[in-house]
Amino acid sequence: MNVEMMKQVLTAEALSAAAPFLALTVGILLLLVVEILPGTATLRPLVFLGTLAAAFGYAWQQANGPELRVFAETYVANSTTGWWAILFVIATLVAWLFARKFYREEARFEGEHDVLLLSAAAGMVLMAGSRDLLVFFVGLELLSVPLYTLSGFQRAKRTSIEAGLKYFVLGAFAAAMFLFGAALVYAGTGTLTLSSMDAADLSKSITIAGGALIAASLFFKISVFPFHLWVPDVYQGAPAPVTTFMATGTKAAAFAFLLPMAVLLPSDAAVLLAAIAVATMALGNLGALVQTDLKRLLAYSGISHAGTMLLAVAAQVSGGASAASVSNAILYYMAAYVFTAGGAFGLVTAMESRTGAPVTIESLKGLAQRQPLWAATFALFALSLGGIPATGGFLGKYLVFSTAVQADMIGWAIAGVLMSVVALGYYLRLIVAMYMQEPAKDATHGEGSRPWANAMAVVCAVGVLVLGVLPGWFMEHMK
Amino acid sequence: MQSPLVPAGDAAHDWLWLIPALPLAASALCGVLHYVEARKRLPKVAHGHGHDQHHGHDTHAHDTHAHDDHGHGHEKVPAGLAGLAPIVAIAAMLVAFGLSLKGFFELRDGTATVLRATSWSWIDTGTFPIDLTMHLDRLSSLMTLVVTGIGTLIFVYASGYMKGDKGYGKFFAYLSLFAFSMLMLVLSSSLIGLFVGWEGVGLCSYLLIGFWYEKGWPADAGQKAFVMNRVGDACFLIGSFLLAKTFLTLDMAMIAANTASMLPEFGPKLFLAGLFLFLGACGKSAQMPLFTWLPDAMAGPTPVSALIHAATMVTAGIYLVVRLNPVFASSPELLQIIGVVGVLTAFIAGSTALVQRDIKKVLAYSTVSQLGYMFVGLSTGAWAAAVFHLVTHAFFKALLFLGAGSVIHGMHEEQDMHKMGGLKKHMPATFVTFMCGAAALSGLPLLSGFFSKDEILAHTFAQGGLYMGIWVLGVATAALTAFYTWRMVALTFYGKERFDAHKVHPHESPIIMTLPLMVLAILSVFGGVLGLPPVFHVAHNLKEWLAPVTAAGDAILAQRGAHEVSHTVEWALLGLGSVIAIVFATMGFKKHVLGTQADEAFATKRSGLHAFLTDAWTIDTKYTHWIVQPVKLLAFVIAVVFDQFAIDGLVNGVASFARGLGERTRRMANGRIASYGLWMGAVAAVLVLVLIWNR
Repeated sequence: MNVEMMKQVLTAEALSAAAPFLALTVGILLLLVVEILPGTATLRPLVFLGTLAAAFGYAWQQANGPELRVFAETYVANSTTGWWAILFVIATLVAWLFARKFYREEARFEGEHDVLLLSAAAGMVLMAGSRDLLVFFVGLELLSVPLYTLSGFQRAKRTSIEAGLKYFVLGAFAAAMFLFGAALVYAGTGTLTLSSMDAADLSKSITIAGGALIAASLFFKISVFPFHLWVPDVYQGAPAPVTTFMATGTKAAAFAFLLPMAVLLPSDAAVLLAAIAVATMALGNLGALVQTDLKRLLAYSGISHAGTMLLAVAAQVSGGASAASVSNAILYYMAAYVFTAGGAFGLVTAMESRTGAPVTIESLKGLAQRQPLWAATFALFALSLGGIPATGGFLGKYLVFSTAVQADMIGWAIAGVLMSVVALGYYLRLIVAMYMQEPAKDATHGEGSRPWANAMAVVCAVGVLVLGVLPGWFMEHMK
Repeated sequence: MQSPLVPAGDAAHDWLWLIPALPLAASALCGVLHYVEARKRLPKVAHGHGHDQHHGHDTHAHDTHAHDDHGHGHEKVPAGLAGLAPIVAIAAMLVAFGLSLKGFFELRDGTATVLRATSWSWIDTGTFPIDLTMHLDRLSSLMTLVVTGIGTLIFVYASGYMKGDKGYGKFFAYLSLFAFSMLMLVLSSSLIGLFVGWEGVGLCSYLLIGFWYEKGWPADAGQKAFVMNRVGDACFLIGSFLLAKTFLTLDMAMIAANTASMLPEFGPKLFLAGLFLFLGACGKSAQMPLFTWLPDAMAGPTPVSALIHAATMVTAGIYLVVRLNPVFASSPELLQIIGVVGVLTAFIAGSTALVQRDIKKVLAYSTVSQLGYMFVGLSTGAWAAAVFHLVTHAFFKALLFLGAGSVIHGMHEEQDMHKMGGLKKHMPATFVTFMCGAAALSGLPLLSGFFSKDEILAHTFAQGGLYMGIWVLGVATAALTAFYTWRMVALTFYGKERFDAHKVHPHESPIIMTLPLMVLAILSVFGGVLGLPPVFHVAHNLKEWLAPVTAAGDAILAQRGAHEVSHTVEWALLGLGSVIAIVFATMGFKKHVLGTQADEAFATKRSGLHAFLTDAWTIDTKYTHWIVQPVKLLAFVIAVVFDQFAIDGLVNGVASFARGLGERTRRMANGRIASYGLWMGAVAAVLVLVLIWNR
C-alpha cells in the first residue's frame, strides 16, 4: 500500500470514526510496555483506567456527533454506535473493578488479564461499528480469543479450564458457521459490505442461507435457544469477573451487529425469530427456576433476557416496527442489563472471592445481616431483572414489548409478558433468602469488607435507578 | 387528539404533585429514622472486619426477635428515635388529606371538572412520548379522599398497634410507601403512571405481608400474593399496549374521551384490550380466578396490612374499570363476562366465609365477596353504584378489620374465634363499633352497606336476561353475608368465654386505637347519605358527582337502550333486601350465640361440604395440582433432563460418530462438547432449510 492510498483511506473523518477503537488499541500497547519495563507495575491500573477514559471520551463525542461512514462504508460511527461503545467501556470497567483482588495464584498474571480485557473491549467496539461482514469478523475474533483465554484463566482450577476449552471449541464452531455464511452471502451478492448489497440479490436463496448461518452464529454469542447449551456450564466454570463480562459485554456486542445485519433476513423470518425468542424466554426462565447455584441461575436468567431482546429484533425483521425504535429499545434494555447483571454477577464475584466456594441460594441466606449493602443492592438488581417499575429493567422490557405490539405480534408479546411472571418466582426467592431467612450456622460467604465491591455495587445500583427513574436524559441523547 | 375534557397542564395546579410526594418523603424519613435507631441498638460485639458490617437496617430484627415465637406484644422494645416515625408519617398523610380536600372543594366550587398539573416528560422515544402528570378529576378526588382519609386513621391506629415492635420505623416506612403508590395510582393521568403505582402497591403489600418474617409462612404468602398479582399485571400491560396501539396515547382521559369515535372501527380490539385490563383488575382486586392470594395475604400477621389491602389496594381494579368506563361499556359481552366473574367470586367467597374460624379470614373472604359485588355493579354500567359500594365498603371493612385487630390485640394474638367468646364486657368500645360495622356489612336497613348493595342489585335486576341469574346469586350472597357476619359477632363477643381466663386477660385497646374505630363507625352508619335510592326523592349525591367522569360510558350504554326499574319494583327490592338481611342475620346470630356447637355439628354431619368450603372450593389445591406442579416439573425436565442428558443421549444415539470424533476432548470436558456442537450444527441447518424452503 503506497502513501497516496494511505492518505485516501486514513482521512481525518476515518480517524475520528475509529477513535474509540484506536484509543483502546493504544492502551493495549502501553500496557504491554508497562509490563516489560521494570518497576512500573503500579502504573498499570492508571494506564488501564486512562485508556477506558479516553475511549469513553471519544465514544461520547460520537454519541453526540454526526453520522460518519468511513473505510468504504465498512465502518460507521453514529450516536447508536457511540452509545454502544460507552456501554462496552462501562461493562469492561465493571468487570475489571470486580476482578480487583479476585485472583490469588493468578495474581502475577494480572497484567495479561488487563491486556486481554482491553483487547476484548476493542473487539466489541469494532463489532458494533462494522457494517461489513469481514470487519465484523475481525472484531468478533478480537473479542473471542481473549475471552477463551480469560475463561480458562484460573489454570489451577479444573472447572475454569474446562469452561475455557468448551467455550473455545464451540466458539470456533460458531466462527466457522459465520465464515461459511459470509461466503454464501458473498456468492449471492458479490460483496461483504451491507450497504452495497441490492434488494434483488438479498432475496436469493443462497444469500438467505448465508444470512441464516450468520444469524445462527450470532445466536450462539447472545445465547438464545437452542444455541444456549454452553452458557450454564461456561458461566459457572469461568472465573466470576469473566462471567460478568461475558454476560454483559459479549451479548451487547452481538446484538449491536445483529440489528444492522438483520437486512440479510427475509421478513417471513420474523415468525421464526419470535418463536425462538419465546422459546428462549421459556427455557431460560423455567431453567432458572430450579437452579441453586447463583452463577447458573443468573446464566439462565441471562438466556431469558436475550430471548426478550430477540423479540424486538423479530419485530424489526417483520417490518412492522421501525428500526430506530427497535434499536433504541435494545440499547436501553442492554444498558439496564449491563448495570443490573454486571452488579449481580459482580456481587457473586465478591462473595466467591473470599472462599472460592460456589455461591448458592443457601449461602445467600441472611446476607442482609452480614452485608446489608450487598443485600440491598442485590435485591434491587433482582427487582430490575424481574422488570419492576422504577428500575431500568422495567423500561427496557416495556420498550421491547411495545415494539412487538407495534409490529402486531401481539400473541408473541403476550407470551413474553407472561414469561416475566415465571421469572419473578426465582428473583423473589433470592430476596426472601437474603432478607427473610436465617443464615446457616457455618455461613461464610460475604464475610469481610470489600471496598471495591461496595463501590461497584453502589455504582451499578445508581445506574439501575437512574435508568429507571430518569430515562428522559438518556433518551434525549440517544436521538 | 385534543379533547375539551382533557385540559392542558397548568402550573397553578402543581401542588397536586405534593399529594403523592409527601408520603414518599415521609417514607424515606421513616426509613432513615429506623436505620439510625437500629444502628444504635446493635449489640456491641466486635464484628471482625470492616465498617460495612454496621449498616444493618435489618440486623436488629434477628438479634432480638429470633426467640420470640408469639409475634409482637411479648417483647416490647422502646422505640427511641423510631418513635418519631408515626408522627412524621401521620403528619404527611394529614397534609395530603388536606390537599385532597382542597382539590375536592376546587372541583366542587370551581368551573373546571379536571385539575391537571404540568406534566413531566418521562420517556420520549420520539415516536411515542410518555408524559407523567397529576390528574385530579371527580373520581380521583374521591379516591384520594378515601386513601388519605382512611389512611390517616389506619396510621393513627397502627401507631398504637405496632408500639413496641422492633420494626416500628420500618413499618411506617412501608406504610407511607404504600400510600405513595396508591396515590400515584389514582392520580396518574396515564396508564403507565398508573402501572407504576399498580406495581408499587403490589411490592409494598409483599413487604407488609412478610413483615414478621420470623413466623415463616407470611413470607410465602407474600410471595404468592406478589406472583399472582404479577399474572394480573402482565395482563394489564398487554391491555395497555393494545390501547396505546389503538389510541396512540396512554393518557386515560384522552382514551376515554375518544372511545366512542373509535368504536365502529376498532370494536374487537377494544374488546380485547378491555378483557386484558379486566384480567389485570382481577389480579389486583382478587377476583376469580386470581383471588386465592388475598385471604392468605390477609391472614398474615398485621391486621393493619390486612386492612390496607381491604380498604385501598384491592379497589384499584374497580377504579381502573370506572376510569376507562367507555372502553368497558363498548362491549356488552365484556360487561357480561365481568358480571359473571363478579357474582361467582362473590358467591364462592361468601360461602367460604361461612365456615372460617380465623376472624381475619372471615373478613378476608368477605372482602373478596364484596369486591365481587362491585364488579357486578360495574357490569350493569352502574359505575356510580360500584364506586358507592367501594366507599361504604372502605368504611365498614376498615372498621371491622381494625376492630378484629383490637380483639386480637386484646386476646394476645389469638385469631381463632372458637377460642374467644364473651368479649362484649371486656372490650366495650371495640364491641359497639364492631357491631356498627357488622350491621353495615350485612346490609341491615338504612345503614351504608344496605343502600350501596341494594343499588347494585336493583341495577342487576333491571337488566334482565342473563343478569337475572346474576341477580339471584347476588341475593343469595347477600343472605350468606348476613349469616357469616353475625356468626362472627356471636362467636367473638357473645356466649361463654372459651379461653383460659388464667392465661389470657382480654383488655380494651388504648384510646389511640379505639378513636379511629369510632370515627369509622359513624361513617359506616351514616355513609348511606352519599347515595340514597331514587324512591327517597332526594339526589343521589355520588352519581351526580361522578357524572362528568362516567358521561362517555353512559352515552355508549344509552345507545343500547336504558334499563330502569319502576318505583314499585324498587320498593319491593328494598323490602326483599331488608327481609333477607334481617332473617339471615338473626339466624347466623342465634345459631352461634351459644357457642361452637353449630359449627361442630356442621363439620361432623356434612364433613365433605365443610372441607370443601373451608378450602375455598379447593381452588387453591387445583392451582397447585394443575399449574404449580406442572410448571415445576417442566422446569425440572428442561434443566435436568433436556439440558443435561437428553441432548447427549439424543445426539449421541443418532450419530454415534460424534463419540469417536470428540473422544479426546470429551474426556477433558465432561464429554458434552461434541454433542453440543453437533446439536448447534443441526439446528443451524434446520434454520437455513426453513428459511429457504419456500423460495
